[in-house]
Amino acid sequence: MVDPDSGEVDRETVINVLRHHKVDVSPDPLVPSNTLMVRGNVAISLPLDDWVKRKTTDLLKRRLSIPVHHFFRPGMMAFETLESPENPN
Amino acid sequence: MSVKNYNYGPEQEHGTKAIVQSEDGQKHAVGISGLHVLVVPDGKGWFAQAFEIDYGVQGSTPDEAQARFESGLSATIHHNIDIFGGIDNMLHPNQDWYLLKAQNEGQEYDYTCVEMHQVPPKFAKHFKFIQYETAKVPIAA
Repeated sequence: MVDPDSGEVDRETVINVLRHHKVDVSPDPLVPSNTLMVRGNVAISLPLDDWVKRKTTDLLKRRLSIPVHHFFRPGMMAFETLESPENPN
Repeated sequence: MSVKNYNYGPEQEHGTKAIVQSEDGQKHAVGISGLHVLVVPDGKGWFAQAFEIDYGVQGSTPDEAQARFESGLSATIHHNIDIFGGIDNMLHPNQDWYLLKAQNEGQEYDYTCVEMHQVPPKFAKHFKFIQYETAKVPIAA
């Protein structure tokens, strides 16, 4: 869900998009109010409020290589496939 | 004890430095000095973004954004050492924010921190050398 006025995205949508892109999302054991996100060689701890602001989604795009439009249009994400596109059949 | 020094950021005159010391492979000390952080309005709230390290957090007030920045960066350093054994992967500047900095010259604050790994994270005592400055909000006439 997106707030059309501010461009903020709700927390659940952000987490769903991150997990779709194979980001390991878990509560931060060091800072209980933060969320720990790990993908490849990037680990980042951020507070994700109920509404995630534009600059935070921009940061997630840069650091975790998430296409930013997926946060605003989750329906544009590709369906999960059984076979990796790099290894068809 | 091994010591690893980093000079990072696209402009070396900023003098931003990071130092990692490891002692017997058991404890690490991470020092970061001269990190520039800008606190700017973001919608109904605020956002604190570092320049030389691409890290930032949101908050409902400038004070909250600053407090969250300190605890979040500290935790991120801990996790990078835990998972990857160093902070090399953190040291990526954000070019876009250098453009914003040029438009807000004089409104960033310098940031210095020292992190001790494998020490209970009592973050407040680690960040007592910070001078905060926030961007001014334009007021409509």
